[in-house]
Amino acid sequence: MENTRKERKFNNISETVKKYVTGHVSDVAAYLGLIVCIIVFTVTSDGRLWGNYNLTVLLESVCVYMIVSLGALFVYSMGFMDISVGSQMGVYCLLTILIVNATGSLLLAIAVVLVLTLICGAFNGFVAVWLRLPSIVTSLFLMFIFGGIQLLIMESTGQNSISINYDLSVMLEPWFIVIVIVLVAVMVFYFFNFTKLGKYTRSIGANERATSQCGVNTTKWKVIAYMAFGVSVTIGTFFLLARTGSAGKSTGNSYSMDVMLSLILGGMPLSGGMKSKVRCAIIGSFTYALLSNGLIISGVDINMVYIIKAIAFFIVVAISCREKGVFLPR
Amino acid sequence: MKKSLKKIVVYVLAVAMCIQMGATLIACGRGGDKIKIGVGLYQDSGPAVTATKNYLNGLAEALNCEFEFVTLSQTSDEENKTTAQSLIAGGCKGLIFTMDGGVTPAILEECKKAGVYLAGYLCDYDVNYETIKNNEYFLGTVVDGSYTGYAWGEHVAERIIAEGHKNIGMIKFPGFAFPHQAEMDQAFREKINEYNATAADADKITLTTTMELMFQPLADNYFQDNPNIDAIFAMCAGVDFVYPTLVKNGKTNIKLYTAGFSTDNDVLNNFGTSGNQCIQELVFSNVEAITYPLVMLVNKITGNEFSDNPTEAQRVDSSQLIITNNTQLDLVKTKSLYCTGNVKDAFLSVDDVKALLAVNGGTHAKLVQAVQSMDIDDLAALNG
Repeated sequence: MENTRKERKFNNISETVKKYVTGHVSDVAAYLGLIVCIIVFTVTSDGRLWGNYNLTVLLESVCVYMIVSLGALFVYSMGFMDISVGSQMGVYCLLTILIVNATGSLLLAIAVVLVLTLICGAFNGFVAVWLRLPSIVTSLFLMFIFGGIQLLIMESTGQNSISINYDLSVMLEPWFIVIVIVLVAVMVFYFFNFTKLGKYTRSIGANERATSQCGVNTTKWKVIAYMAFGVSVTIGTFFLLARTGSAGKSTGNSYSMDVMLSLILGGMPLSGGMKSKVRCAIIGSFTYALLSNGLIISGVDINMVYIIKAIAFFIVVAISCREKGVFLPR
Repeated sequence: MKKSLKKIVVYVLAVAMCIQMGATLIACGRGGDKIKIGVGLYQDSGPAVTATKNYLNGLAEALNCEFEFVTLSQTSDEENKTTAQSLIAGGCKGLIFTMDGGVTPAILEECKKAGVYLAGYLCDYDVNYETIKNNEYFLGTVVDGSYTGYAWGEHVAERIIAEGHKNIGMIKFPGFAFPHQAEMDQAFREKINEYNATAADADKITLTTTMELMFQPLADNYFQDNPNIDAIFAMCAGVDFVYPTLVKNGKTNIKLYTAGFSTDNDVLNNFGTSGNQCIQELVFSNVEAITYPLVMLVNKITGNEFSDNPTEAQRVDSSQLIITNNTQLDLVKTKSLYCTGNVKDAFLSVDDVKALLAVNGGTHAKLVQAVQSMDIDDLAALNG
């Protein structure tokens, strides 16, 4: 009798767990990916993963991914994407260096970069709607423009890279990085979950037509979402610049894909919608940075790093695919 | 069926990943008290990379070192800093980098935090040398040939004059990437002008304006713009960027004097008096030049110092193999570490390198002399 009751209780629990897992496959896969990375690299790095120096390094590399990914949530939750962000960041880094070196004013550089990111955000959002183009096409256009500008600036300097004459080292202090990450995460969490911006962007991702028929001006919210992304790009740019103190022809270029990969590794559906969560950016950024860092400190052959990353990425995508029988739905 | 197949694919990949991780577990982190040195090269494959890896791995046991190889980005400072940080976090006590850039001071900051030392290999650290030469964590660098390009420029001019070429095409990489090619260009022109000053009109040599290649192959219309050239002095890597265009346009009658080298048969079989006889001169640096940063790092990490240790980090020239005829090419093909990848063919044996360490009575002067005694005559002498 007692045994049957226990059995029933156990069955109930396992049924609940099973239901939760079935309903949250992508979340479980994302958490699992992070946990597996932590366990595997703790062992393979002989504990170096947890060394003070490595934790600082990890924090430094996570911060840019996370800040930009958090902003990108607004865009990706609509099922849109922006592949111009890397080139944009490269140009903003160069502009900041040129402005600061010429005027000594970091504030002026921040203001210029912020205005430019907002303009580009508005452009990306508005033109995509106005010309009825897929968002990737307008961002592709911006990517080429900014890529060209980056090359022109570097050609005009006659150097491979240029350095900033301003001490940004405070931005690399762990306490500063943590404060900024927490602030950005809290603000994004608030705007994403408790304001119209987050609700409308997710509902655009879920069903744009239905959202529009409910009286929501989708064009307006798309533009605002891209502009919100622009703000996080501005913050990310300054952390990126603080890391190296210099910028060159391909500074930032990899971030377009890195941000996308971070979000996907965090369980973000590429189609956007209601399953988009702030934690996708947070978990994904950690997993992505950990993958790169952990493989190298574990002494994995550099030629294998890309292959392992690709396998890990494929597994997460395959597991977190939320529609039966289809990879990367919609 | 379809669903099962997908599941199988996912599980197989997961298992593959676990196996790789397992292999890593076995392979990594078992260095004991060995000195771990991270080596950042600007290429991920090719004969130079293979030879460098073989050479260092051949020295590893004798020097109680282990090496971790990574590929640096030629354009992204941020990637290079991340790579340096990961190497340091992975337990490297020293770094040998083939790349400078705006990020070097930031990398040295990381070195300072972790007590790690940095030295350069086939890189002149031109961007930052003045600011970092007194940095305690920068131990100097060995240059890709000579720091200034004058010597080779003069040498090629002398050959061009001797061979009797009259119309010379001049090609180099942009100054922002290779500033010292301007010196090569200048030395070459001065030597030719000197010759022209006394030569009869019919014997005078004309030079084209120096064209800058933006790391793209020479354009086909180059030969329409310069129809009379009979030789090209390519200060850039002409084997990769000029020779293919000559072949494509049927212009292999134009003689090519170029920096760079290739183990590609198409190049080796058309050198000097062989094949189409287009390529007349090749030049490249020796892999063994890495001995300089390696010895400097091992000395520092083991707490030893040369009696004549320089007070500031040095930028040391290294010998290059300048190949001007088929005999020399054959020698390089069969007896140089670069081509054979065999440590036994190295200019410096394991014992030679050990003897250069401060702890074994080596001096900085001897180390410099060692990396500057590796030219084609030295190779010939070494092989009887």
